[in-house]
Amino acid sequence: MTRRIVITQNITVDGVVEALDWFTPEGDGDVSDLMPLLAEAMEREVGFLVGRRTFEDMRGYWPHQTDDTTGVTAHLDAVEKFVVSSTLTDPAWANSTVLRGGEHLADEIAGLLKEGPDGDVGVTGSIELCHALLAADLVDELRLYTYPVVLGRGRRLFPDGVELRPTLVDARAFRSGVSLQTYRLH
Amino acid sequence: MTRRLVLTAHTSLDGVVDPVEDLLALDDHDGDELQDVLLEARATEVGLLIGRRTFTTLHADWASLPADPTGTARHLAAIDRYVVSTTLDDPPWATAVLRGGDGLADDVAEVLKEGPDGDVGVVGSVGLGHALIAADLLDELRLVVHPRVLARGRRLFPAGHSARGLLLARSRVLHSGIAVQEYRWR
Repeated sequence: MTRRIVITQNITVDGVVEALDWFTPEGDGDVSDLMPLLAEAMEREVGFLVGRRTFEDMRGYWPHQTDDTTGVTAHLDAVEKFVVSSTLTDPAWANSTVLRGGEHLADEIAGLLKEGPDGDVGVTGSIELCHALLAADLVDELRLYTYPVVLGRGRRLFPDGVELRPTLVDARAFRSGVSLQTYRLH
Repeated sequence: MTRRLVLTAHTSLDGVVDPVEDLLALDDHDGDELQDVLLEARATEVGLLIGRRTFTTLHADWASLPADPTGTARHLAAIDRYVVSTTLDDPPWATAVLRGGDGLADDVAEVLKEGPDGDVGVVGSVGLGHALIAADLLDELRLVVHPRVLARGRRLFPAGHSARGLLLARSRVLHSGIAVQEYRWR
């Protein structure tokens, strides 16, 4: 496989990924030691796969950041974007393709992994889509940025009833108390 | 405070701590590495605060001082053994029985005041762990995160309780892919 599906999530110590009120796109505290990793991840990322709500959230935020120094806006504009939605017809963002998901998801993923330049196809946010991808064994890597927060409520990354045996391939801690664990599933 | 309350939990990646046998019985972790983590914790451990079931198990396994190369029996015999139970009445091997419930915070304050300085550990005892977390009584949380998603079982954190700004005091990885994360309440 020359392309891989890589889920990257911000997650709490108690496993919540729903972005309620504990996370901001700019990050909290000293994130200077985190930025090089994000830049590195962006460099490897040739595609972006998200659910409709995450897609619309991102479309409503990043293209409007005129003085973005993180490079995220330019990256997202340029990269191939796949949005999974059964209702969306016009994605209204350059380089975007609508996937139908559901029973077609596995075939659609196989299709997007086969074509285009080598690299990572990143998934973030998109909790329902992550559940579907994990349940269908379509994820190659998980990158979990664990925030030093316990939330006590909110949706979780892992779907009910799906047992997994990933392999830890990298772990590091940052000044802000955030730590990164990288797991391979294949 | 001259004593600290330190909860150590084996957890899956999705936050499941019970049944712990599903994590510990796996043949893919290195027992020696986990033993080292345990021995290191023991160096500063002056007591255990545990629920009735965990107490009963430890009592049955170790009170008779069976020959054991790990020194567990001798260690447990030497430290304070506090059991939280509403039903046990002056059980053998217990330093003291605490009633918990509404009096839990006072009980813990007493335990932390008496005896030699060091860590009072909480192990097993999922129900007690929930009560201690919900009442904000822990000083430190040591998570031994196994690279598994179990998808069912009891979780470490009680629903509805949040905690912000934990301090990631230490983060390390064992060869077998277990991540050990130590969080402190500020």
